[in-house]
Amino acid sequence: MKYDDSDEQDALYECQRNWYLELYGSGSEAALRAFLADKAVIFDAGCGLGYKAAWFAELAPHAVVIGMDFSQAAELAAARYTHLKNLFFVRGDIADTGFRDGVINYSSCDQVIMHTEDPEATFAELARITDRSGEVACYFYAKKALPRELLDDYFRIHCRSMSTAALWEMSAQLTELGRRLSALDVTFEAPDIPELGIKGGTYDIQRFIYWNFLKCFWNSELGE
Amino acid sequence: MTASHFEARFTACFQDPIVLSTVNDARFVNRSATHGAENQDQTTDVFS
Repeated sequence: MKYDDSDEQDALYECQRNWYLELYGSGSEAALRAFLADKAVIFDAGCGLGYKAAWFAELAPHAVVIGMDFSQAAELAAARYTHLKNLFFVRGDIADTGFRDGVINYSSCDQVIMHTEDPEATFAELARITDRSGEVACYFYAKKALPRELLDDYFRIHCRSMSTAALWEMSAQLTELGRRLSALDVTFEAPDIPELGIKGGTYDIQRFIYWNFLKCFWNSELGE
Repeated sequence: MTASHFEARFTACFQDPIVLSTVNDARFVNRSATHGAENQDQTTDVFS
């Protein structure tokens, strides 16, 4: 099933929005709306398919909201959210935005910066374009255990040569693996393995494999 | 605020002139390496 045809998108977006509210401290959508009330220009750096930028545009109808992404997703987002007249999408490099100094009042770079070629340079760009009285919200993934990092690196390269159909098929397989592991409902005590970056402790078996070996994500709230 | 008001504010954010495509009401700028080639066949509004 293609992403656009999935009826689970809404559940995913709702999950991401709630996660965003909790992670960055707003706590509620009303509080985020109040926070954005005095922001004239809002930037979603690495916007992907644009649902978060669209969310900002709805919460801040007075503001210009700009979503930027390196991939074709930016163009797809522009085609999807045509009803929001204050929302713009740019296909471009968030490390070289082309914006004027200090023109952004709120820069959000959520789960993206670690994927850029030089995260420090990207952050410097966000700092350059964000007004001194503005805010930058940035979250990056924690470094995982060595086996997981190695496999992620391999996938990032290997995926470029895979067809869309093959990618969807593999994604479904990995999700199914996550589902089955989670259904086991097994916890165990893992030992410390410092040389591999594996931290000991009590783990659910799905989370242990997810954090240390393979991104077999599963969240029962996102669908069956 | 009108769409053109937002467009003017948007384009003013950039250091250099940009090409804002408004084909099918999709407000899109392509700053990738193939920028020129991809936009050649589209109706565009040019701002500076």
